[in-house]
Amino acid sequence: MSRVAAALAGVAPGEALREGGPAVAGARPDATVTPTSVEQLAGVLKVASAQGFGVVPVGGGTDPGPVPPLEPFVVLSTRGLRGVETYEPADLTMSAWAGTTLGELQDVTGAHAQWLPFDPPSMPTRTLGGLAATGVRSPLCASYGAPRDHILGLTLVTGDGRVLRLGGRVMKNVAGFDLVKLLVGSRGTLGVVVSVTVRLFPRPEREVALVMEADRAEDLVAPARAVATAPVLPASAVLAAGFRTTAAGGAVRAASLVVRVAGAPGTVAADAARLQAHVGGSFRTVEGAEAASLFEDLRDHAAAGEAVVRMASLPASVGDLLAAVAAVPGPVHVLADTMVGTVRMAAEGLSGEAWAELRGVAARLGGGCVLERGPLELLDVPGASPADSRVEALTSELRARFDPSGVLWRGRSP
Amino acid sequence: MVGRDHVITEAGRLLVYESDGLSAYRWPPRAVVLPASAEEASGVLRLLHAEGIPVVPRGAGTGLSGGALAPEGAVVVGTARMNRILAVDPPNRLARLQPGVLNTRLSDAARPFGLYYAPDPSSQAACTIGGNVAENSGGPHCLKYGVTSRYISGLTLAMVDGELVQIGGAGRDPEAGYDLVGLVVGSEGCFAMVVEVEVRLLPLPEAVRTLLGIFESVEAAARAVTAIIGEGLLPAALEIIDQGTIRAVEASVYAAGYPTDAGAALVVEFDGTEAGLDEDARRAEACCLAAGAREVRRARDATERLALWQGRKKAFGAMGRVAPDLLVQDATVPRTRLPEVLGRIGEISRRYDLTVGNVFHAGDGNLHPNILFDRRNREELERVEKASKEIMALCVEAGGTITGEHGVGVDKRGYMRLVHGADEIEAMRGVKAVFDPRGLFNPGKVLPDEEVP
Repeated sequence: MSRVAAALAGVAPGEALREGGPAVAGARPDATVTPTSVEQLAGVLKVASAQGFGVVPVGGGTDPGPVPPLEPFVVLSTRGLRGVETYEPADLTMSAWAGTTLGELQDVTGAHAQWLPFDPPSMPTRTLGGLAATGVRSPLCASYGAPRDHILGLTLVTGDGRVLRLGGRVMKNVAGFDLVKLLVGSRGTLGVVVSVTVRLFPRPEREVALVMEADRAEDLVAPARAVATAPVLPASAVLAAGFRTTAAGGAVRAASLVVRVAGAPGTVAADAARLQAHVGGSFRTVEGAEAASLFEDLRDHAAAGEAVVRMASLPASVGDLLAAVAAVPGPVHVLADTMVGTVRMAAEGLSGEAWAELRGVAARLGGGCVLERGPLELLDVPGASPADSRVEALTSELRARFDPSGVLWRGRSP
Repeated sequence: MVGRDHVITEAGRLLVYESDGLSAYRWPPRAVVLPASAEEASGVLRLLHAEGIPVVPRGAGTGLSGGALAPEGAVVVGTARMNRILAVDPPNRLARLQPGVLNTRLSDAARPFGLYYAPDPSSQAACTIGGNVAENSGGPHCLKYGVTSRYISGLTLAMVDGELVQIGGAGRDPEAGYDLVGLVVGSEGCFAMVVEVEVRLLPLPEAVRTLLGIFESVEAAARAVTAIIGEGLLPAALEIIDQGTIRAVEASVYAAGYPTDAGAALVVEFDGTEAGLDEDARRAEACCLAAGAREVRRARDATERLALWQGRKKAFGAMGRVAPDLLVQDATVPRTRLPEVLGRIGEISRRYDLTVGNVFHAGDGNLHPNILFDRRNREELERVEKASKEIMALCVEAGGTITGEHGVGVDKRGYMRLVHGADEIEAMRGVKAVFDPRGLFNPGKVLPDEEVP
């Protein structure tokens, strides 16, 4: 038994602890712990803080990032903490344990015609805790808002094992500093989220996809911009390229602009007509099961590949990002959220030069460009935008307040 | 640095700054400085920091929790001259502005482009965006649209030592780094001074439908709210006005034509695409009638819409005329607990022999029990304080919190331990110390005093 596993045997007995476990971004954990209570989980962090080994919190494991944690470390899985704590449909709120998957939650809320309006890649297998920890953005955020806007409260175990109950379960809450916002998107560097309360939304009665296709993505930039500046806000709008759908709707050409319109039946028809009139081009309308399967394909589009890159800019600059991606050699899939101006790209054999070029374009636009996953060598390619030193200082001091021994996610910056 | 005219030290001119919307307190500041730009604010803070002088950032002073009050020896840095809209950017649906811009001025500037700024606190004609950022302000329309934090995409801060730091920004990667913007919004001027704001704008809704349901009781109106949400409808606003408030409004110059024998009125508003609104309104009307509404009025035009809103919008003004002083309370409970909590607030007010009027954002469960009193009557003031405390404890017990949109300020520091444990309060104190290690920013606000062991 490794030193680390031996140290944990006292706090996480039996089933909860096993030696080794799946690698995280290529690094091998000494042990994997799956606590079944908050006390057990806090115990793991206290032992880690006392003994000085690293802890990597993992939920659904869908979003590990490219950077391997420093060794030695243990994987702390939240999957032993699962299930709905409270769900009051008339309040449109739900509290659930962090290890509950979003797929499980959508099933529970769907029975009451409600949902969590988030559609990141691999949505069903992501956990609620992971949603809070990553704060992941997805196309529906353009109309519904992001996880940060709808996570009303969470329970956190800090790096040194303190249990903090932050926020609450009401819609509006300004009682003290908003530490929930600090935690959402902190990627396991401040603590382990063990329970989350979210705001839910009524599930739209009807959804349609307005689809426009072209041989080249650049031909769809103008209509996408028209949608983004239209007087009616669609649920989402994405531009997918290098993409052929397998859904019953027939072959999609090289690039597609897909506008999702949702709401009451009468509203959807009227919104679709207004968008059509504003854009001027002609959309094909896709409905029902075909639309649902198209949304699912798009959700996971450009999320798998040897390298996955996330770029950000202003909505009006999305064409510049797409042009930069189009210049990348090799097979490339891309999904642009044209409402907010972000692009996700999946590429095989992304070269250091191409990666540096992408970062250069993003930097010139004042935006961002990060590797969501990919070969480690790319991390060494220079050219990242310089970080503000005061922001860096605030970041590291905040981190030290929540994780004084520095055990959480060693090697990763938030 | 800012010009002699913009440093106020004479007792007479300082009077304006000795209280804010929480009129029970009067704390005269040591001085008031009014910079006109981020650079001037930075210079002022650098100087005050070097001298170790505490700073209170202040917008329009409309806050209802005493957040802009200056404790002993503190200098107020006001944003009154930082009132320029720097850019409206329709292609990106953004605007950049200085913190002293009034909330309504921003929407006015965006309207020619078919855009508007969604958060609309009731004081929007008088309050500033900087103040909204500090308080994470709400308003009647946040049921559908959310609160201020959702619309703030970036901030420029003057840190306690004067350094200017940019955080967030709409074009930046929203997933990179900690959400410092989210952390600073709602921090009540305790972390840094906001000197520039970037906001997201929304397209103006095509049309609006406004209904007014008249009910025999507040509980029945609250049941209608639950039914409307249960229908899967998402109104832009759901506001309840109780009998006491209706009577105060009807007895005032703001008379809105609400029946004075009604137990409560419920304003329901839908906005969005014209085509769907009549159906939404029809379904909401059916919910009201099923919950026992005696009538449901529907506004046919903009004038009628304003009339239906009148009783809600003028409630505070009308209540204020009934007694010398009005304590505007603020708490949030889960929406389904509203009928029970309202009943118990009624019991508390009877027990303390106080008049409490309820006007509130029912869709969010955000209560505003308004207590009438006369601050010269010390015995009554004591009863007001006791009743307030019981109402807060009641809301917390019902799964709610001590403030939904007005902030903690000085007023609710004493209630913080009702909702937060010692570890949570220490965590908040630790975060404040990261921004402001010497405790110079807005001292004596938000956090309760340290517990004496």
